[in-house]
Amino acid sequence: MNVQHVRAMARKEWWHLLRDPRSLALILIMPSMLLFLFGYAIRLDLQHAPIAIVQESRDAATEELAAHFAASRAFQVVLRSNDRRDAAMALQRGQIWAAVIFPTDYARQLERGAARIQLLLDGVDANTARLLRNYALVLVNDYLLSRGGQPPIRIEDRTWFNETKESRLAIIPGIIAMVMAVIGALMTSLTIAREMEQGNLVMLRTTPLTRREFLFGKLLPYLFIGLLDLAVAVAVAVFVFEMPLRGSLPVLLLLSALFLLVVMLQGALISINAGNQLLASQMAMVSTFLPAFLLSGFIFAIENMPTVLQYITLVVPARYYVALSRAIFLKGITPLLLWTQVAALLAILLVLLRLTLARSRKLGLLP
Amino acid sequence: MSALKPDVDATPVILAENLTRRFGDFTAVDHIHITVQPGEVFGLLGANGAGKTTAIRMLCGMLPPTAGWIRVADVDMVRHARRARGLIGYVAQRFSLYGDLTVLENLKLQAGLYGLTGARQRERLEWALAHLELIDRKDAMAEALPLGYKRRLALAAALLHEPRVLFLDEPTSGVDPIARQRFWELIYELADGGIGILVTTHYMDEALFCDRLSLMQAGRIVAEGTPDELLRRPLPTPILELDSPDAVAFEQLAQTWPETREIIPHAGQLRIRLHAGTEASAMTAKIWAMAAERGLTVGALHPAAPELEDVFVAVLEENET
Repeated sequence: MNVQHVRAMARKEWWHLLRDPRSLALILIMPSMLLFLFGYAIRLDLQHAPIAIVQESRDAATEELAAHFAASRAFQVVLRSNDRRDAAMALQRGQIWAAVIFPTDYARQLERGAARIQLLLDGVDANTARLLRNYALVLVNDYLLSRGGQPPIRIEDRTWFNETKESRLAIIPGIIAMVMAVIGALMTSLTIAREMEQGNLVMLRTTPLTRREFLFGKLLPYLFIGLLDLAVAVAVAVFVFEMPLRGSLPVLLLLSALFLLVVMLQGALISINAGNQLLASQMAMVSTFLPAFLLSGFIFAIENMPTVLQYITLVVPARYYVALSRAIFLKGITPLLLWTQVAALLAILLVLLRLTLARSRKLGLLP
Repeated sequence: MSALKPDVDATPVILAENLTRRFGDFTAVDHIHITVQPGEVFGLLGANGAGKTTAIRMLCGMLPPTAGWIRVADVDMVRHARRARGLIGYVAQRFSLYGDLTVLENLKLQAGLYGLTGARQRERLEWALAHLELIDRKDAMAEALPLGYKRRLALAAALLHEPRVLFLDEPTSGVDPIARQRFWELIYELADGGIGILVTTHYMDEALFCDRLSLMQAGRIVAEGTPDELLRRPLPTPILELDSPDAVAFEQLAQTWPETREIIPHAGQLRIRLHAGTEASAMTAKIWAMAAERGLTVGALHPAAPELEDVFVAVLEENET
């Protein structure tokens, strides 16, 4: 490989990028934008869920528990009534997500130790309904404990690595992986297809440029931009979302570069096969965004997936990167402990490299 | 001509023997021989589909031949592709440089691809910008250039690394006559500097500018030589030139003659192409007699000196039958 040829190609690609400042700005801003968007949109914990409290009899006992619901950060009482039909109506209209109903005999039954309250849930969003139910259960239990009831067993729980159990902390490394996958593959998927579309290859085919020089020269500037994107994303994660970075930053960057190379090669392979920019960009989006979102384990745990899907995740590079970056961010361990994940990423990289070089025959450049 | 060193003169810049390319059952190029000497302008002619493009693609190393071999300045095009490519320059028919790069950026890219560095790169860039009159547009985007400038930019890019041979694929199609004239002047200058030039064209007047020509048909070379040699070839189908105020009447009349193959009205004259084997002088006498009989005026009547197009049409027809 001739370094000069690679440099000439890389420099040319860089000029293309600078020539189009709007796209360049978009590429640089997109990761933070997506990070904000997903960081705030994907919430697996509850805050200020609108609920109704129905007290069919208003007395000190119902007031006391109702006050606990009102004081909880998870709930926001938007409706108080003494008629459960009001709650049913509000639930239908979607004004509230749940209703807590105290029956008329609540106070009397509480004395006898057999009190019941009803929890009505909007099951349209099953996930939220489950969360609401769990929060309500915990709240009622805590209330009982505060009244001096003594249960036979108490669980002393501590959640390691994420003490406040914020889902954000678990999600952000996943979002970074997704953003890198999309950006890396999208950028490179366009670049080779463009040369094929615009006929520049006709000229390159008569020069001493080889396929490898062409590929590496073209990918180099995008690797640089991808790493810049990554640095921005990590900074936003740490400084805006207060994500703890317990492991080593250089190791994180090194593994991120490895992941970037993988998705970039994926983009290059798509680009050569598609041969036109529109098709290539669509294929790149579908083949990176969806797997990185659904199959990387960043929202849906891989272990809970059907067996077939679990096997499919084995070829999703984002899966390994999510595991590694979570471990570095939250656990602060060295990736040596996760060497299988690193090895898997490396293996995918080598396979993609072989495939891309084999397919690059199609470009008609020198071998 | 230029003062070339005899030892340079000895090696052809292109030497292709038995060059053949088949696509499945179809033979696009069929055992052709092409030799281009340094300083020579060689024209490759032929209709669309005659095999010109396939031939030039093989000669530039873009397409491996099915059989035969090509040497560029004594370097094997197939076996030493990388080295051979450093010796050739190619200007595609369609503009294939980068539209969103400036003139200078495009040239710098080419310089890098051909491994020009440092002082040599600067010197060659300066030469190209000055020599091809691009200096006042050096920071313009290539896509915004007028067509003539685009062609010169493509030519500059192909010449940066001082190739021994230059391939020009339909270099003047769509260019205005003045720009064409200028372009040919440039080509002669380059040839005088010792570069061998292979040009494909379908303009017959341009074919006359070439030192040597080959005409392709159905993948074969069916005629070759200098324009003079080709023009001296006896035409199998003689042409008579008839100048007459009664041209319209003659045109109708000529259509009834058994000897007539084709009538070409040409600037107030009639060019009457006769069937092969017809004796031109006998036919002239016959026409004079016919004119007298019908009271038609004949201004002038004589066998025409063939033009290159006539020669080629005759050759192509000969091969078809």
